[in-house]
Amino acid sequence: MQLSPAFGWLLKRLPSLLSPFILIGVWELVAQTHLFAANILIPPQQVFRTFLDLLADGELIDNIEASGARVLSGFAIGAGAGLIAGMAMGLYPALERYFGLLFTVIRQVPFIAWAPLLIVAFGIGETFKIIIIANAAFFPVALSTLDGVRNVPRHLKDVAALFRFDRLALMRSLVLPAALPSILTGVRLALSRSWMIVVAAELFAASSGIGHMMDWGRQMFQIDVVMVGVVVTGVVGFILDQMLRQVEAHFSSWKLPSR
Amino acid sequence: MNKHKARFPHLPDLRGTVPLALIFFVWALKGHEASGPLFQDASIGAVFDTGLDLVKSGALWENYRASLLRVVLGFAIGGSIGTAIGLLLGVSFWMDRLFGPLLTALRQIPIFGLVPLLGLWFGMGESAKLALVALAAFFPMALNTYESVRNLPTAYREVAALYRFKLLYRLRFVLVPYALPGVLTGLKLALSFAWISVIGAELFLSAAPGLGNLLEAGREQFRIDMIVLGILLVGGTGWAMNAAVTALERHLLRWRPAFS
Repeated sequence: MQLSPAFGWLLKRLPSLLSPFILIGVWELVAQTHLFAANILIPPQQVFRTFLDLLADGELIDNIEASGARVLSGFAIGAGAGLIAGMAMGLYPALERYFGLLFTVIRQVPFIAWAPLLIVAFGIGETFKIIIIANAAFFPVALSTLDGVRNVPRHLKDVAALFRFDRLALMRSLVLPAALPSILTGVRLALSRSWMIVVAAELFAASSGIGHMMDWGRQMFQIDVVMVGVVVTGVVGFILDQMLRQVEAHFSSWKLPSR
Repeated sequence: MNKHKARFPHLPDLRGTVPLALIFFVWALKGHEASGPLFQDASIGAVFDTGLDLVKSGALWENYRASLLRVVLGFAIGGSIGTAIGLLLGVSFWMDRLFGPLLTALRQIPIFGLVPLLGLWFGMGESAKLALVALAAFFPMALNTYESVRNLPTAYREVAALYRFKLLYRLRFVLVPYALPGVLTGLKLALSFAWISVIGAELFLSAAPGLGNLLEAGREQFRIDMIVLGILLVGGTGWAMNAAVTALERHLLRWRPAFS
């Protein structure tokens, strides 16, 4: 029997498409059994209703925007600085000899352990949140940029030298394009890490943001609000990751062969 | 290539210590000026003295031990469940199709976003902390095991089938050697995630001995010595755990040409 390609495609992906429904189904069933108190395990449709409520009164959007703004500014600072630092160390090895150790030492400390020091130094406001995000976004970008710049194929550098490329031409036509796929991998990691950290930073103290919404929900014992927060942070993280994977795939299609 | 080596062939390359020494000097020179409304006393001497007291009184060790215990327990729970689930999904076609995408999607939830939920479910005490650490270790372990087991080339399977390898033999000589590098990568990630989440759990959930608690107390009392000691121990321990797993990796994968 000959199956049409569209049907074959569907058949192959059907189980994967089903899996979120399985999760919701199991969740619903367990909620139905009343094994757990109704205010501990909220049935899915109630979480969905809360989601719609939060969406309708604009609270959810406001909080996502507040978290998003923090991620954007922290990520822009951290990733920008990481790009510059990675480029500089890749192009001038002496810089890496001087600063490599410092970077390694700072990188060993997980972002969360910096938080108390930053709060003492900068107070509990926006500055501390943006710095902690920037710090976390810096390292993946710096390391992957350094890696990409360092691994520009030797023979291409030779060709560039032969053609007497000046610094600008060298950067534009060789180093940047060659390092781009590696840089993008770092950018993706940095962005998803930034998203993870903004939620944590908002748990310390905040008057807005998705982490604040969840912490508020916990204090008010509104598990449905907390669960909406969990699902929303997961979905946003997933979308960010997928978007950058697309960009990465697009640019790695012209990845240079290593030799 | 290395000009430094060419010029001073017998000296170790100490250039990396220059910025660290500079930071130290600036601290030593200017530290006492920073003490004021913000810090209790941030001069280098004061931080050393009070830090030393913390070590002598055993308060530091008590906190450190509590954190270590949490990371070991949480990692043992989350890591073993993660390995089992990853193995199951990787081996079984239907499990893979049904739950693989789910695992990938759930991983996207920021780990600290689960703190409020776990706090409500388990209370703010020890069990919520362990649950968070276990979950942090679970995902990298499950995903890496799952992916490396799933990618076992068909050719290997066919050879194993052709020679009618028994199940145990097949595990020992086909699946484990193939999947081990990926599983070890997962182990490394899982340990470092578990360690981060121990500190986070101690900061966000109720106070009990732990390095996170030391950091938090230092923040509340503006005690730079507590914070600095806490950061050093958190960073040093993370580094040591990573080094230990890397050594294990080298040992277990010594048959691979890349590691010899």
